[in-house]
Amino acid sequence: MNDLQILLPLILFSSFFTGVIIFFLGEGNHRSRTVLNLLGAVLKILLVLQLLDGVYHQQVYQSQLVLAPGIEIVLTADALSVFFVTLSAFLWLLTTVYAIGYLEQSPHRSRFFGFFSICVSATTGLALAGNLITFLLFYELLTLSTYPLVVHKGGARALRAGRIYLRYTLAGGAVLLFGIAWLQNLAGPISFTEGGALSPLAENHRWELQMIFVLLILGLGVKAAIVPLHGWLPNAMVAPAPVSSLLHAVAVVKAGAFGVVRMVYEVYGIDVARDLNLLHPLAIVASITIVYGSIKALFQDELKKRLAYSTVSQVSYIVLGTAIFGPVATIGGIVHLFHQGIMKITLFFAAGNYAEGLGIHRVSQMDGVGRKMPWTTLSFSIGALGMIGLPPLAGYVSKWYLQKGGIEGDEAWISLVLSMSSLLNAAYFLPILYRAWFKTGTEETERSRKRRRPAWWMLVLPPVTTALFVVYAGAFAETPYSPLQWAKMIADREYTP
Amino acid sequence: MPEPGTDALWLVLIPLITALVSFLLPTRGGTLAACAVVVAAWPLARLLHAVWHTGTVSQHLGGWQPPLGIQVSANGSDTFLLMIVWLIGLGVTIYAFHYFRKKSELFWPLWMFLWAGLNALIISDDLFNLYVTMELVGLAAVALTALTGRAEALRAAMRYTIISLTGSLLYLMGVAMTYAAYGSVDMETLSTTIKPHPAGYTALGLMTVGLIAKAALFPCHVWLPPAHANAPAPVSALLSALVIKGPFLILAQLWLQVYSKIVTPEAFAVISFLGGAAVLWGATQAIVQQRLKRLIAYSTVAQLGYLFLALPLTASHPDAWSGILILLAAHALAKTALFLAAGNVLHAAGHDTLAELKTIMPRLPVTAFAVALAGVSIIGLPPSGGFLGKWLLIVSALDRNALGIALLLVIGSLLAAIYIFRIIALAFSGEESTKGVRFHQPPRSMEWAAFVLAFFAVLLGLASNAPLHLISMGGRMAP
Repeated sequence: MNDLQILLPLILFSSFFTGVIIFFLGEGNHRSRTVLNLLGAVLKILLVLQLLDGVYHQQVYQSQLVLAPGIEIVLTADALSVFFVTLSAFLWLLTTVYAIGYLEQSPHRSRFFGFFSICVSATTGLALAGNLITFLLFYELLTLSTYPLVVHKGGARALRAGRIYLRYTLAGGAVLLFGIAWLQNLAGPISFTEGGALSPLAENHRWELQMIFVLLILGLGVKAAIVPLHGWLPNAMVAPAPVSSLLHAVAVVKAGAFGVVRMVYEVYGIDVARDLNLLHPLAIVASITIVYGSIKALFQDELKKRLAYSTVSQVSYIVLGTAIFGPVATIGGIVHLFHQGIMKITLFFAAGNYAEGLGIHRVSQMDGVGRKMPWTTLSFSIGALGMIGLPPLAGYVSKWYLQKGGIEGDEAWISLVLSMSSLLNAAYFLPILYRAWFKTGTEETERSRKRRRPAWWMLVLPPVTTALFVVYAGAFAETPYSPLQWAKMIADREYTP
Repeated sequence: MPEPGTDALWLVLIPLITALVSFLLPTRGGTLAACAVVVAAWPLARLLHAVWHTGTVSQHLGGWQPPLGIQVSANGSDTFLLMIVWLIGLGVTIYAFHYFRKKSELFWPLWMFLWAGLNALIISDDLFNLYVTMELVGLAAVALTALTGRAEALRAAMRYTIISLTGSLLYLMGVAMTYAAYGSVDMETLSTTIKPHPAGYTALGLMTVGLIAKAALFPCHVWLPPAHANAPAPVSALLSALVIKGPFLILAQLWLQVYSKIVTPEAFAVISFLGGAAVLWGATQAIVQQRLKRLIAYSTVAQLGYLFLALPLTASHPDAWSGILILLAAHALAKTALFLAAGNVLHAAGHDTLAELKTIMPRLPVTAFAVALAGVSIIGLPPSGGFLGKWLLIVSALDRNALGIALLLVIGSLLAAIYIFRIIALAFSGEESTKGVRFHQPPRSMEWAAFVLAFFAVLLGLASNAPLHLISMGGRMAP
């Protein structure tokens, strides 16, 4: 076995075995757990960096395990999967640091970090999946490993959120399974192929392929929180802050969006999808989700709920970029996969800090927090402005490419949707920033001092880091190692197979 | 060097001898049974080796050829089943060693009889022998059900006895009729001589009804939940995981092999329909149960339904029989784990009322994990044996345009998820006040026995190449 075959399983297991070992560590074994967590996360980043370099130089990585005839677990690394794996590896490290600080002294930490690591492994596996059945396997593993995280706090409210989460995701998984089984029945086992794998069937099996596409999108749409399948997401924000951060940035929601990208480009192929008249309806659904999510966000006073609806809206940018034919829109959609992740995780980290440090959960309580927690609020502001699409931040780059892609793809109405969304984004984010920086708090909030925590830096460092990255990804988008350049490379490979 | 066929016979003789000896030495029952399980590994390994290399292994008792003599044989599927039975037997024996430490010495000889009967059932090749083995299994099972001696258990055991004996009688009548009409009970001989003829139809009909009653297929399932829920945990595990699979296996052999020439597609449709109804009814009943063990028992009704639901596919699709056997094995492992876990909960709390287990489950992490892993396989989520079995069946169903079967397989999974997560959610209740709540930590061996079996149920989905190859050795049972 050479390193081309072993690298991918190593990347997968760097977090998986970390999780399994953590389960067996005693609850009180705080130090070894921390060391193990960080070790796993750092190791993973090092491995991912090596992978990144290899894929950039057109190296082909593949490992497989035959489970049964017709069922092969295949891990491959193409430009798209490496993009997603890199995102998840970096955010895992930051979220781990954050979670260690956040969960200080709270019960059941072994259980939490165990499932947390397995959740990240599932995301990684999903990104590296080389065929549909492998994708399905990790998709379901993701559902299972996130459930304990969502209900981690216990109590009626968390359990209810967990039930709703399962109801949506398991039903989605079943629909996806059905779609995949049908597709396999029609076309044999399907590997993800740049440029698509179904063009030979498109002639004779039109309606079947259309039906299967609907099933696949329904199954993935649940996790991607496409309206009206988004109902679980605002409920799931009862989870602890590190979980929400990961859930919204890389794990669950992003897994759905990533799946949509995979299906359109690498199962169907963008040309086939267009010929089957599938792209236009998808674009409409995405647009409705974008506007609906933003409007709902406007009316939420609970900060995490507002952010959750904002996620509903923002994730569909990715779907929208995918659904518009043309490389420019593709770049916009794919780069947003990364950009939305770093922006949203910044916002959720900050929201967690407000709750932990000041006991603030609602937007209406946020008057004057800027002076009390300057670093957190600064990061929050950068994330929010990025979401609105202010140049030169990351969100601006995504929106610019989407806008341009819409015009090039003869779908000018997209511009309308995007500008409406930007306005709404501004309408629900700017008041928060105004309150935080320019208003003085009521006497009560003024008096409440920041709770003393032994490791406060662990809560502040992650959002500051991601905020810096939001600036970098926007301002230095044209430099060789920016997310944008990588997204361009992916789009290039999808359109010229 | 003995013939490989004798290894199959040893798998019957070892438990049989142990059962007799442990009647004589009642206080040593547990040790004897443990020894028997360990010793049986040797002939099992030899049998596996022989079947893996040569296909089917057979043996004529006393050297007489059929139709005069009795023949036993083991092909790949049989060997796979023998191994699953052994594995579950190992887990249950380890578990029961603590569970029955101070009481119920009768468990051990009865369990050994049961095991001997199951092994004999798997390797038997003629209809009358199948009857004998089925009776051995049935009587041991009934006695085990009544083991606690409590009124509820006795009532359930009584009901079970009546159903079981009626089923056996119907089956025996069918055998007699077959013998009268065709002059043989040897399955291989019969499969070539049976022709469409009223006697054949009647015989098959009688046997089918008898077997359905014993296998607790909907709507003949009513005896199962009380019997399985009121037995001691290791017994529930054996009954749910193994005992009811015996009649199913016989029925499958009759329909797919012996009488395959006279079974009509309509008959397949009826039995498949009953299986589908069992999936829906069992799962919905499991969802509304208030007691843990009854929930698991109703889950068995549903899971058994899958096997009958998919039976028509085996007649036409090569993968379907593998799917059914994998599903059967995965269910056996997972269900044993669930019942053993329920036994741990009962040990800890003294009751199994779901609503009051909120403070108990969080304190039994290993048991909770066992439930979760077993649950993954019961639901059929990847990667697990349950998923692999269902996947093979769904793909074959779609291949044969049996959309209904494929849909029911998926819907059954969703319903299973609802009742399984009712148990799992208890572990996350976040309520751990220990004041005034009874809690006895179960012995470690009991917790880990459940966990390891559940782990095997999941593993079956990951390391399935070898089992699938084994199942296909010596000719698939289906044509």
